[in-house]
Amino acid sequence: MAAAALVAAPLLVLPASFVAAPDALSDFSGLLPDAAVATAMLVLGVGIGTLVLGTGLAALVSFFDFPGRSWLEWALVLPLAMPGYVFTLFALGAADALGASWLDVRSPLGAVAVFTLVLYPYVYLLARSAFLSQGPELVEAARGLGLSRTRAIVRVAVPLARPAILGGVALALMESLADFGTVNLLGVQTFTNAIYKVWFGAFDRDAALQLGTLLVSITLTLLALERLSRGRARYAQDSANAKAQAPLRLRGPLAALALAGPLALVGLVVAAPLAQLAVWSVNSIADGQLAPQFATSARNSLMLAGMSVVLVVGAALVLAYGRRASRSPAGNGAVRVATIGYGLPGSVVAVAVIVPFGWLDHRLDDVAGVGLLLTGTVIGLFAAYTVRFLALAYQSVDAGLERVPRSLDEAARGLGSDRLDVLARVHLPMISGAMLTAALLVFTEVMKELPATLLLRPLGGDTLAVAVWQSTAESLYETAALPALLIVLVGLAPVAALIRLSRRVA
Amino acid sequence: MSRRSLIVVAAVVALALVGGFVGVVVATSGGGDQLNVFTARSHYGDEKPFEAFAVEGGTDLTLFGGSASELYERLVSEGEQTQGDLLITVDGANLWRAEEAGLLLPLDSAVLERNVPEGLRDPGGEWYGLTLRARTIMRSTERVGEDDVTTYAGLGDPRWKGRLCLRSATSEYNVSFVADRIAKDGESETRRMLERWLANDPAILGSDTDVLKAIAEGTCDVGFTNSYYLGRELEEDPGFPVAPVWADQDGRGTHVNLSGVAVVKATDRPDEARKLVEYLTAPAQQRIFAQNNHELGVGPGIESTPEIARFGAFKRDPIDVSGAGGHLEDAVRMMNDVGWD
Repeated sequence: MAAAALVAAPLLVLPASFVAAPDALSDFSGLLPDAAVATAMLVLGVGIGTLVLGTGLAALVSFFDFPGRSWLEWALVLPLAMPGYVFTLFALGAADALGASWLDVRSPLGAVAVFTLVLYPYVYLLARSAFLSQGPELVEAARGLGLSRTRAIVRVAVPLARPAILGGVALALMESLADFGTVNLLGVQTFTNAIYKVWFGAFDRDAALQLGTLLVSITLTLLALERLSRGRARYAQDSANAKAQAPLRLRGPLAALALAGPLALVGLVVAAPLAQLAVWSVNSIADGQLAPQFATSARNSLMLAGMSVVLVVGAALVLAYGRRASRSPAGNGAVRVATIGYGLPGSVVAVAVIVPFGWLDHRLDDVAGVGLLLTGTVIGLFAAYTVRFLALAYQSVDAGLERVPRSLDEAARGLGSDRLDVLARVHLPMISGAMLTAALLVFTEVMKELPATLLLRPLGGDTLAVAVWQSTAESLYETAALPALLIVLVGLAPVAALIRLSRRVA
Repeated sequence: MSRRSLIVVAAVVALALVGGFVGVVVATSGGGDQLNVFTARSHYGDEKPFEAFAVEGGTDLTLFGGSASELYERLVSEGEQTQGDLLITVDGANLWRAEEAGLLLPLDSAVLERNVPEGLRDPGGEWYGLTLRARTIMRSTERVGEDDVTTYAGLGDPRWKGRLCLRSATSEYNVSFVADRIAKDGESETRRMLERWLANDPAILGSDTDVLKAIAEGTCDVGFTNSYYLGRELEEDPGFPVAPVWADQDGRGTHVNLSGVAVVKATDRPDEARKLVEYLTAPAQQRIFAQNNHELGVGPGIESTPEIARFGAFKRDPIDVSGAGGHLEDAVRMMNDVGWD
């Protein structure tokens, strides 16, 4: 709970802004209706889009077999490595090149499409691992009762995987609500765009923080809805490590379609942008237009991402395990508070960290004369990453723990194990897959993260994402391409490893 | 996993955590024995003068990029303890804002007074111009004649309905331009002009380059950008079918903004910082800054690149940094009110 409080403390700055300057927002009241409409469209569109696409693809590779399936299974996760802002650059370029003016990418609908395409893997990943852990009996039983295979999947397997699927949708929605790069490039006036406008255009920190507060309220509502829909139901499976189903073998045109459709999707979201980035990268190297301090940026990105994994996944494990060990309402509340940061735009997290940390820093300096220890170093940045990505790691670790039946804990305790022993010998082996998922998600997210890094990075702490942004802001797309390419490629490696390892573990 | 191995793993992780943490902190911290330059200029290609200074003076430099607003926030937030020694912005209004906030150190230097003409530096010596950037009308050379539009207000003519492209309102250049208009023309005239622009249903694009490309590709016929972006396109492709219209030549002249440099008040090394400013504003370095990016020089004798010079000399609207600076917030509100996204 202490961990939760530490994460939550900066967030108290948000509502406090209403007390400090009650009228700050009235100057910008014109922004609110637009932001509300755009955000609602985004939530609805991305929610439905990722739900259908992610669950459908997960069901396809879990319950059916066709040539190339095992290959496709991991290829479908690859878009996870594609940051929205990089894909948007590519999409804008492609729309221009094709002269496709009917294809209005710069619209709320365009943003929904971009987010659905790059964020569906969250739903896909969680749904797939839920399907795989279900074991064949349930679908077989449903078929025994006369349902076709497709209907058995829709009526039995999907509802059973509901916590995982909705968890994935919640992640995708929080990610799109927090996005700044994509909506800014597409000119969609969501809350994050409005916040940036008010903060860095008009320098009205209070109004920006208040908009941030409204955004947090939306995120909280979403999270509450997700929790509510889960209700009291628990979906533990006795056969958590059961062999996956014997999938139905597809043949002929159906098999071809099952392979070609998803492949085209991956081609569009990953292969095509990669090819374009590669061409630009080669041009930039040939022209000597490489981003400055490119190697330093790459090193910084890798170090920050690696360290964040340890910090954030560790904190998530502590939280999830604490909640399981003592199911108190306070513990549940702590978890909820600690995980709302994911729906916050990075820039709002940054200011929520800067305000209390900066204050503390100056007091510390007054007393000890140590300079700015927190905001002048990566410590502030790590705090922001923890606030931002704890939910991501927690969802995954917690879902893993949920699948471990409580009866196992009790059995182990009955056999004389203490809590630590249960963690070491029962839980960790069973949730290592989930922890790996969490680690890789955090790693790629930190690699991609832009606004908080931009605002909190210490001197000499430029990352690849910062390099991409700085060149993009100056329209130097070719210079932006190589760091962007690296972000995507580095993101791809853990994504591939994730599938390999999760296959072995499951 | 046994209990003992869990403890061992936990201990190793904890050690790695501490070690890694210290390592990352050390590796990413700028350190005190060097000059740190907060710059809003895209520093691609701008490094050369800094590198030369570092080599000649034996001083290490770190460039730290960001938008002027973000850098300003950082300077305010870090206060006395900031590691920043120099501030470089891409517009005058942000220099004024930093000066107003008491963030800048006044310099008294005969070299600087020689390097930067009066009017392009702060009378109190708190900041100095580095380059100038014209923000003006761009037209398709294929579909728009030279005299079809000659004033900023002219972009509001109904003949451009559906044919105008603008960059988004979050651009500092646009905000600075509107703030400057408010200072010189007043609220209501500026608002009327923007309302007429927006009545033409302009396409709002993400960057000046996007606007130029949209004109070249025929998505729109006229736009509004900084001239150096056109310089870049023309360097790549001399046949790029877009030309600038030097606006308001019969009025006050074409809007020109100032990219400038200042020393941060909280610097620990004021003498070295001043030397760096003197070095950067010296004609040889000014020329690199200006010509590398097709901008206009501040000092006498800094000629434009051929890509821009071929469009001729033009009358410049006198720069009023404090006027624009004082209306930045009004500009953001007004652009929001008229629906400039």
